[in-house]
Amino acid sequence: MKLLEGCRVLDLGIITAGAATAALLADFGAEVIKVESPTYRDPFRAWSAQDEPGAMPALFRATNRNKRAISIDLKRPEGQAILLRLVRRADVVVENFRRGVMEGLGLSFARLREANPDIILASISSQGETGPDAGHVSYGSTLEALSGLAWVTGYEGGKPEVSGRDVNYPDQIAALFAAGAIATALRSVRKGEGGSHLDLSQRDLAAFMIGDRFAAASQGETVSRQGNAQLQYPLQDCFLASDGIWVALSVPAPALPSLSEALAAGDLHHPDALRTVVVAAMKARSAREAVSFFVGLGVPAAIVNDGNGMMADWGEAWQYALQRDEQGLTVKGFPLQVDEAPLAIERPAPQVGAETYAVLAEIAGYSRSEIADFAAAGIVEIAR
Amino acid sequence: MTARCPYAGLTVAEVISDAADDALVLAAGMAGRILADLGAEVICRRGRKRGFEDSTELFLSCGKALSSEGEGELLGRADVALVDGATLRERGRAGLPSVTAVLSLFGRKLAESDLPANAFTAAASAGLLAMVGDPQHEPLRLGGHQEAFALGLSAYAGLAAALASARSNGVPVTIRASLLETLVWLNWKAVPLEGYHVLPGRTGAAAEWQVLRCADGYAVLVYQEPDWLRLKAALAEPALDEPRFSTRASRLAHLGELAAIIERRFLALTRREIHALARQHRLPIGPVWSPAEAFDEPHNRARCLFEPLGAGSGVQAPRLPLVWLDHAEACQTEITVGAA
Repeated sequence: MKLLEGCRVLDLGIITAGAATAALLADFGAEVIKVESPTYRDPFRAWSAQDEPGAMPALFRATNRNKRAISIDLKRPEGQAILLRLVRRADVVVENFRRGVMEGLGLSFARLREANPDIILASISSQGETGPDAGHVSYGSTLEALSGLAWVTGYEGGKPEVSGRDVNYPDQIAALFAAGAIATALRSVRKGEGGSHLDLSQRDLAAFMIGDRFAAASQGETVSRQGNAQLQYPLQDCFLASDGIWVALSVPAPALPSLSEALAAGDLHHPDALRTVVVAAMKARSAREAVSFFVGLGVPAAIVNDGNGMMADWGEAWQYALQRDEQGLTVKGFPLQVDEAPLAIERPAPQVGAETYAVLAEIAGYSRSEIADFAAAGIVEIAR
Repeated sequence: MTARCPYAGLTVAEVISDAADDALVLAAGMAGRILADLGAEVICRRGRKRGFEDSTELFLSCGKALSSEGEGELLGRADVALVDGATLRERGRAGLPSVTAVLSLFGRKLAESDLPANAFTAAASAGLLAMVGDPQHEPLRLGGHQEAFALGLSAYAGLAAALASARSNGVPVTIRASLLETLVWLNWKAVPLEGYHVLPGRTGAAAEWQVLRCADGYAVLVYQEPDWLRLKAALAEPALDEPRFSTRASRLAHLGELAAIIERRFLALTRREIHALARQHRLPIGPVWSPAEAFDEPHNRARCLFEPLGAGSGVQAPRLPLVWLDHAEACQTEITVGAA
């Protein structure tokens, strides 16, 4: 039995933060039903770099595997009524729309709770449900700036830096934390504490992830950018090897004597001397030779991988983080694994409305003719 | 706002062996900190002195107890444990609580390895370093302890799923959370996904989203294609109307010039003015606040984001980023839902 087997999630999540949260719940065994609309798709369905017409975009495919999919027009009262009937038979609703959209659709938490007192509404937003910036449009890097994370990221003496649009770090960590928070709320419901509306702000989370820097700042310490350096290492940085490949290296203080002996370098306790010696040692070796040399001395070292390098380590240094779907295509995997209830990819990402009929019949309890009428009126969309 | 404590009554043990890298201590500390905020009694074993800052220790230890009791005794009375591989090997699975998260640096074949590695080299292996910074300079890590804390979030997610499970109490659940699996999972867009022909990497001055100077600091220029017209309207800069910026493709070909023009405009504005302009024109531009400044940000104050770390310490840090909104409000709202 999987950890969240028996739990049903209505996934109104889009792009990364919402959709990836629901995906993680699906990986834990929840039945996740992705809810789209005849007039509004998950934008990831349109973010394609492929030339092949009709092919499912890689970003959507990667983020929405292990889900079922339905399509309901939530702008129409009949569509809202269908969703509320599903809410009665669900445990969780996940959404990350712009603030106010759920209320505009007549799907406020109050209304969901009226349908099901034990429902959990997880609102994953950029800046939370409240506060003067709650309605301010933002992406991951906006939140890195506002939270303080960008302030502490950067080269020593240089400008602040962000993870950028290809990492979008706040979106990724939001999914990890939100999945945990929803599971926590499920436990609360099982203890008889009733449903709840979870306000999950990515800006708050990004700030929490540098909580120790805030603790330092509140004590009057100057919090600055330190490049790659960290307190516990006399030297930590990236260095170019002879083949032009970057190598990341952290020299712990206890390794200094052996490093000094291996490089015939004398006293390396002075930072400049240590850096000079390491730069020369790197330039004298290829990246692989350098990693082997330093690791052999007990010094943490690794090649700075690009995407191809990451893939080359698949199956050796990591296994689950990416997976293949049944077509052999790359999809997001799992950040963790469970020995007794393994996470697995069991179904590929669905087409729009792939299971509208089945879900409305089996879960919502509508008759065949009712569903046909909904489809004829354009209230629901049934995949051909 | 209301807070719930779904883990009240649970005892959580953080036991990371002295030989383990600091990253695992930080990750267990983050997961334990979240569980403590949600009501668990979290107990840390007193281990060797670690290399991270006192403020980090202070932040992670908030709401926890420190114990000098024996490892076996502590693990014996806990309901949940956060351990490393060495602790698992020493105690055996039977010597650990039924719900246990085992943290490691690597996954798969190297999970049990004692290769010298840490959060920085894991970020290198996971491609994260290659994504941040300027291509003319060294690859760059994100500030603070992002890698280890992200592993802490992974462990928390796994433990929360286990503690929400309808599986019978006492049935073992073993969560395996590794730093490398977590970081590759976070950095999934860096790999060569089918249909993409260009590998992403750090682009520095060639990035569409840039950190630019302004009158009193920096602001991050963030926008998507649909935002372009509003961005032009907000900045009221005639040069942006030139043909070389008329399409996304032409803007990408002139990113340096574009950034220079926008930065020139930003230099006449404070971050507060840029923030107001962004809100007025619905643009995702973000002023860069320092932690010291963020304490007084009106949005953070309105959300009561900061709280004291312990009574009377005077130290402030962000609260748990989970708000249980007041459901009493929902109870009072009379809304009729059609019968189903």
